[in-house]
Amino acid sequence: MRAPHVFDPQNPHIVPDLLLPALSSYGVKKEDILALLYLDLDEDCRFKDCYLIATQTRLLYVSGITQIRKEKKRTMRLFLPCNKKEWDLSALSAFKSEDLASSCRLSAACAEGRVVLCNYTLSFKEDVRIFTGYLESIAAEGSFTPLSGDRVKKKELYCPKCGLRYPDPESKVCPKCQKQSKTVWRTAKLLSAYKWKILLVGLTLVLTGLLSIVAPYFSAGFFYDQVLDVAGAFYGKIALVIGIIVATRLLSQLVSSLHSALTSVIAADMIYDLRKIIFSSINRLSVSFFTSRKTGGLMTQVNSDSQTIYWFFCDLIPSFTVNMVQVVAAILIMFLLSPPLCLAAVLFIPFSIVAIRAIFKKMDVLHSRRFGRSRSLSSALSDMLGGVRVVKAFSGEQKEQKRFNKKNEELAKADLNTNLYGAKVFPGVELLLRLGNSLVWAVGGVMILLHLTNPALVGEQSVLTYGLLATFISYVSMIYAPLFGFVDMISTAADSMKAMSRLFEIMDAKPEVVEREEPLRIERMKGGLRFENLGFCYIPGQTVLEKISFEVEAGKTVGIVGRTGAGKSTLANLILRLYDPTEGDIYIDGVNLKDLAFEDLRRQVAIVSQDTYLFSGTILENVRYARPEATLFEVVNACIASGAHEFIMKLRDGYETRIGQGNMELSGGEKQRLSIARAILKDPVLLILDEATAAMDTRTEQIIQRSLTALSKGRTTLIIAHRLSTLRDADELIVIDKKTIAERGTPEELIKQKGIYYTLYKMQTEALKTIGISED
Amino acid sequence: MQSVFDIAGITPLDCKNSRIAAEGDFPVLYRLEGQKEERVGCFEAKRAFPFEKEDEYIVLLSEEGKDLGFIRALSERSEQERAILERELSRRYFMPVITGIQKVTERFAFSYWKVKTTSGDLEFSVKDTYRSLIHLGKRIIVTDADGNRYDIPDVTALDRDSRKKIDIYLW
Repeated sequence: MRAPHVFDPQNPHIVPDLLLPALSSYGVKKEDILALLYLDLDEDCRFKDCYLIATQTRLLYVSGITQIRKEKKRTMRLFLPCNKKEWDLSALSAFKSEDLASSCRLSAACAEGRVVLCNYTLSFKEDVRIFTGYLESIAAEGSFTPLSGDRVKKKELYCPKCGLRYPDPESKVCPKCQKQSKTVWRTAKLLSAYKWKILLVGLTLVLTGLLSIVAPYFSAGFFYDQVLDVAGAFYGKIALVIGIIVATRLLSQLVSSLHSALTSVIAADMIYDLRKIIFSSINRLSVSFFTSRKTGGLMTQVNSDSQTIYWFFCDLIPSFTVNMVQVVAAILIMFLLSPPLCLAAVLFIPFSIVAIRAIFKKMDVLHSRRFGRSRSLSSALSDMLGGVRVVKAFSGEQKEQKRFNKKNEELAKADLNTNLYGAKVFPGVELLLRLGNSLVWAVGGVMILLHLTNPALVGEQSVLTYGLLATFISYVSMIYAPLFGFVDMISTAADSMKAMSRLFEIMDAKPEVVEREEPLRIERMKGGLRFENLGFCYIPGQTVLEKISFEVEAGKTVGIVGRTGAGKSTLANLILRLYDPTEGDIYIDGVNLKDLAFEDLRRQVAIVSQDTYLFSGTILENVRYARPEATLFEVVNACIASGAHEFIMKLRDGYETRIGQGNMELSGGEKQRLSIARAILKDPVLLILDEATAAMDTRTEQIIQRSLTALSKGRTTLIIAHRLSTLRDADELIVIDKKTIAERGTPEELIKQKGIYYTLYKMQTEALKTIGISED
Repeated sequence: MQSVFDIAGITPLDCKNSRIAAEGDFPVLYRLEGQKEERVGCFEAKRAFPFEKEDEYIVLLSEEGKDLGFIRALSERSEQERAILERELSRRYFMPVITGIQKVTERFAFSYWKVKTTSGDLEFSVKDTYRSLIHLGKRIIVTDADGNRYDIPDVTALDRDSRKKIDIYLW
């Protein structure tokens, strides 16, 4: 639910009208207000409407309730204050917002010590962050400048029409306002190429339907009354009638086979097309999309969503239409044949539908409970199997057995409950339908016995015959049969709608990092790199880097040092334009990265990082991923240079050994060497080594270091490392501390400075000395 | 062989080596060494086991996040200090307790809740509902789309109507 007042960082002084009476009672004039913020917790952490108001000299905190009154078709809002606190803004400093378990508090330092200013829930964290920035300026200088539009990464979280929160603020799809029919229509348009084939499928179903409607008449009513009865028009002509019945059956069979063949063909094609659409949509999105989603979910999407959508259009819609038509036609015919019997037949339908719907709702709960427990069991199992080494090392077999037993038991219970419920309930519904059947027999029987006149529109007979009654019974069962199917269709149709919405969520998602229209192309860059006032945060409010400015001349090697999590790898991500900086720019050869074509950028920049991902394939395929046109000679060369050749030749199949998921597992060091080979093969202009030799022992590292040094000659190289031994050949070093550049210079200069680098250097040389190795 | 528990060389904070006082809204730590008293400064009190042991293993961190030591059990401290710590802890671990659930609507794994809590009535939304519920036996903690948490200390104690609304998420 949206807050009564939404804070606008660019216009923070806007005051909601309902607040004015309260403000005037505190002696605050609207024009004096510099900034105003809405919060949702009072000082006792109760949900109230609270406002933080800043003038040039005062800071007020007011909590109360908003009263909504409807007076003569107008909605009046009135703010009833309950509590107020006030401080002298110029006396406040050192504002700090703390994240607590499920709320936050803002405090400041004043003459009496530290005071808590206000409480709020995590929903207002970002607003408070910006507001606090303004408060700091007002307290210190008496004024502030509102943040400009592009600096505020504020997302629209709520639907402007109904106020409901968007499940995904990126795709802005409101579940309430978005007409489900629109999604279905959009999907239908996507698959319009198949419309004739689907129509054909529908036609086959119609034929089957028609044939099935006609069949009861012939095999029951017609047979008894016209053929077996002496008075009948076709008396004795058994062969003819049996012939007709057999022919109808045969035709029905043929049509059914045609239907199956058609659906098989359509299924293969349509699911293929849908999978392609989903995959290509996912493919064009930026890295940030993938980090926020689980790969498993995406995989399900590509695989099973396509099936569900296919099923919706080729199975559900045609059969639902035909069944509907069948039921309506059957009821119509029954009404024409005998209204009182028709009434008896349909009497139980509404009750059955209500009962079935209630059952399915309960089944939903039981099924999802079962699914949850089954998932829990699977994950416990995969845990045990994946961590079997740890289980054995800590003698945990018994514990695992117990854990498995417990989950197994719970799943069994859920299974039992689900099946028992089904066993109890479905026969009950069936009984209901049988009652309907019996009612028809009863009423029909009475009518026959009493020779009641039957107001029939068909035939000369005005008396209900046995044959007609038998026909009736067949039609009745034709109506009851689809009932279960209908209700089941509703829930599975819901699943299809969800699949379609997910499809459009992906298709509509815009990649965060976008290439400029008509981007600049540079065939071969020189490699001069420049960072200008760079700032970045993955999540707004959690800055990783700020005010980074430095320049790297083409061909030089620069080392980047810093503690874990300091943001060094983020720099690499930004250079590759996997993310765009939040502030500032990056230039290569004087060209802003945002203006450069992706292809040229990524073709000439190579990164060797800490985690190497190798695809399912041969070693050759993996190394050649860098440049598919590379010759075998180049590949072998690259592998010799990276030190990978040595271990590759120890493998049975050499370069054609299959690695990756499900295949041969390589050690961390071996994977790294392949990753370096990939980088070498790429022949890049700019090389980024992000802890490239981290997974290796010192001896291997030394060997590879030689190749890496040779590789980086003449190429601009950025080496990100903890281990200072790897930075020995750097022309310059940059130390990143507290999100920005703390020191820079040559290794000798930094040691003389006796700063952060010196401390690190000393620590590492001391550590090595204790194990008897001197770095000299 | 040195006992494995002596390796870290930790001494828990007890009444002999530390004193806790309140300065306005915030607690302050003093270290005691014999007769000397050293003011360490304001601290954050965090529970090492927030769900299982609320009154034991309270870790004190400085404002910069540096570890200042831990208190093995609140019962070890004086009554005054206990009151200060409990006030700070209850503020830090404050979570509205759900007393009744009026409505839960689900659309595409995103659910919209309308509840009554000990802090007032409110509405919130939960994304990826199945994964946003922490199950601790009979206790359930719901995390909403912004990260706020709500406590249901005993699901079985909720009234039938409320229970039914979230039945589908309980397994």
